[in-house]
Amino acid sequence: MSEPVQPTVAVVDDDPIFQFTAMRTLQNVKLATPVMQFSNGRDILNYLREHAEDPARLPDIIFLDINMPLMDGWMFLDDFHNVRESLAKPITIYMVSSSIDMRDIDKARENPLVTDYVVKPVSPERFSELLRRD
Amino acid sequence: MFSENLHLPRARAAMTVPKDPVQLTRAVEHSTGVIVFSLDKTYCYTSFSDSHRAVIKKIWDVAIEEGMCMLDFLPERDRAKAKVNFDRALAGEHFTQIEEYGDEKLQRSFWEDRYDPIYDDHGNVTGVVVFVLDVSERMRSTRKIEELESRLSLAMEAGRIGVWEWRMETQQVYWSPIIYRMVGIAPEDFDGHFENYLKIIHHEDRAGLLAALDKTLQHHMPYVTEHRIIGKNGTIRWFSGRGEVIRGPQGEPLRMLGTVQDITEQKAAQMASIDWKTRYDLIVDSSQQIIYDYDVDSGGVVWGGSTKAVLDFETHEMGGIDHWVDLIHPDDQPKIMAALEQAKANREKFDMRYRFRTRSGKYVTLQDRGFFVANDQGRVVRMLGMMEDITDQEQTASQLRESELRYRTLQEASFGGIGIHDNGIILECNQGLSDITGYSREELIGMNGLLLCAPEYHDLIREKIKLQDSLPYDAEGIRKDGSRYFLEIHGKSIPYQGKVVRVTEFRDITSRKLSEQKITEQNARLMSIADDLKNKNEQLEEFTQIVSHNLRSPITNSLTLLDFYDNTLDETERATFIKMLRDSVSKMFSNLTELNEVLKIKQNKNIERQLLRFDTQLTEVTKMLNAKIVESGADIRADFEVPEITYPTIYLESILLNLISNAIKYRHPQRKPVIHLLTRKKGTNVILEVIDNGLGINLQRYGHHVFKLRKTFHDHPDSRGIGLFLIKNQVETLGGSISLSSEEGKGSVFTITFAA
Repeated sequence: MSEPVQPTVAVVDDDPIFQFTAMRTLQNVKLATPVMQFSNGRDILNYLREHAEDPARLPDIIFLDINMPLMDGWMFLDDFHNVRESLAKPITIYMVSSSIDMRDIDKARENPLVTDYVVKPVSPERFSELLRRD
Repeated sequence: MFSENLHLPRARAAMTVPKDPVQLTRAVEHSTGVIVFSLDKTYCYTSFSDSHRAVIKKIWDVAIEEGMCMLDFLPERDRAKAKVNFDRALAGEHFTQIEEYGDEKLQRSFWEDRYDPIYDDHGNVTGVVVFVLDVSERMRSTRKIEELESRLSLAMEAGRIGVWEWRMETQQVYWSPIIYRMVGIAPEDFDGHFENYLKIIHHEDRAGLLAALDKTLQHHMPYVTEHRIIGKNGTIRWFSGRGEVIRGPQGEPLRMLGTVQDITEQKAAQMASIDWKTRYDLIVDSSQQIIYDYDVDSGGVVWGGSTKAVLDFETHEMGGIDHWVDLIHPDDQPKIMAALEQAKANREKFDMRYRFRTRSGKYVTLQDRGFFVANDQGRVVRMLGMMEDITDQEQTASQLRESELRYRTLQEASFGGIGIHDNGIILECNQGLSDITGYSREELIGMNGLLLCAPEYHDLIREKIKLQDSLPYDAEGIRKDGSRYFLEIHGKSIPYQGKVVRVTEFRDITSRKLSEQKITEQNARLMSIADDLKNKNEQLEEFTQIVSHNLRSPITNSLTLLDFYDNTLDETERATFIKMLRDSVSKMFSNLTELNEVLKIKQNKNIERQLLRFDTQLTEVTKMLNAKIVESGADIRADFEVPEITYPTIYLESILLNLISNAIKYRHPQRKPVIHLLTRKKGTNVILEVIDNGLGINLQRYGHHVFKLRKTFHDHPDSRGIGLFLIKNQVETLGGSISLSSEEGKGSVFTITFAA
């Protein structure tokens, strides 16, 4: 199975171990190149603002953690709402969290910016599916 | 009218004058005894009767002859009028004229002269023939009548007497002018029809007038009436009328003639003179009083007044004193007799009430007031008095008493205190009010009702009275002993004896109020339990969050790493995985430890408390933070208005440590940190405020996360996100609260409320 264009992925998570495992999984399934890493919402928001008009440098998919310092996933979504219009291409957001709290899940699903809620751990199959879905 | 008696042939037709006028006149003279003379056109005698010659001789002392001119001997005053009359006849006129002729000194008389022209064969007037009648006697009578009539008329005017005539045939009534004036009706307003005449007669008098007329016309009785006539402006005047009937040959009435006299004044005088007896009788009758006059010696009684109406006995049936005694109810007799004896002995007036039997055997209640009259010797001879039937009054009074009794019973039966008051002054009250307030009924009546209520309610109560508000409201009452109680006041304004008074009911609602208080207290307790539950729930949610994020996260990492480990045989890679796995597990362990700390706090509500001084605790904490304080140059100021608190030592230490280190950690890079700690009292609670001039925080954005675990909002290497979460749990577990107010770039104020 070979995809003509590989989507660019950004993983936003403060947990270095998840960053590591996610990166490795994505590389193993060879679904995405490259993978951008951000440790909180504020960092990726700044990146998006900076490269809003450059589609080559914008990710196609964001895997967004909820619990992060400085700016958590929810806060990022609030701000992304305002940034989205200025972006050169559409970005798909998946919320990725270890939380199985229904309030988190419902809150994410109710947010129109979020395409899906993904519970950690994320298997290689699940990653493939999410990338393909795009 | 005077010519009617002269029966002369109609001159012009009958007068075929004979050839010889002298013969004619003679013939006439002889046959009729009439005085006659004729003149030619020059006023000269052509003939005359002997009687004429005699008359002329008599009245003028002239001896006439044929051919003599009449005008020649007539004296000046008679000549002119004579000539006028002759000339009229000579001009062809037939007429009769009464004139006075004659010499004053001789005889001046009234003469009725009939003038007829004399014609020739061709119908030309050749002279005049005059027939003369001496009417002096008649004229004198007429004059007298006229005189009398005028005098009568004057008298009638003066006596206000009018003359009227009623003609049967035409039913027309004629009035002399004075009648119009007397009745006050203008002639043009009265057409004289009998029908219309009746209309102006007072309606009460019409039948009487017609009856009187009927009597007169049918039975030949004299017509005499008194009746009122209503004038045009409504004035009513009394008239007395008299009249006579003029009848035809068969006795049929042709007309009535009569007089009418204004008797209004006499009538008024008559009305005024209705004697006092009549009036007295009228009054006695209308007041339903029975009058009696008892002659002591004979035992006879004269009864008057409404005897019949009240007792159904005619006065003559009432009889003497024995009958009276007999009719008194047997039960009342002894006391009445005794009372009378006493009044008689003391010459006092008496006023008694007794039951009295009427003709039908029914008893009525009489009020009998009277007195005894003594003669000159001081011996009692008469008893005079009045009796009145007061049965109805008596009944009404007893009904009133009954209804009053019912009202009072109702009042007494009411649980409340009821008072009727006028502008606060109590006019009447029931036993209930006395029971509630502790004042006796006698004390309450006349007292100002406001004094029964606590002073702070007086304005409210006055307002309610002023507005005539009738809705119940609560107030506090003060009893006679000064104690207070809860009161429901229900007032209503009602008209009473000509003014508006207020009926007010007091209801002691102390027990209700106490229940209300109990309910309020219980409600507050429930609210606090609910709050507590809410807190617990929030904490539970928090716990779920902690488990979800903080514990589950390293576990999922571990699982993934284990998968990686299984899927590779590369030892280097495996070593990396194991290292990471160890990190994850130790992360998990430290998270569990922190969680355990929090749970310990939550479980340890009864942790030991000591009396702590804020300044002492602050000194301890600044020692622990010495390095950071020196490094940052922080200025820590303390203002402990409340110097002490009873609190767990480690909690207070933890609170101070966390807040001060936070303030230093998030200090503003451009200014020296100033941290201000102060305590104060708010109600029974002690408040601690920690005020810094640091970075501050956008509460709108981060407010909901401030006190959560693992939440950090500043890019700082030491941020662990546990401190605030910890102290929040410590404070809340002991019933207090913590809050933050902050402005980004200016600083933050943490406020801790320690529950007392």
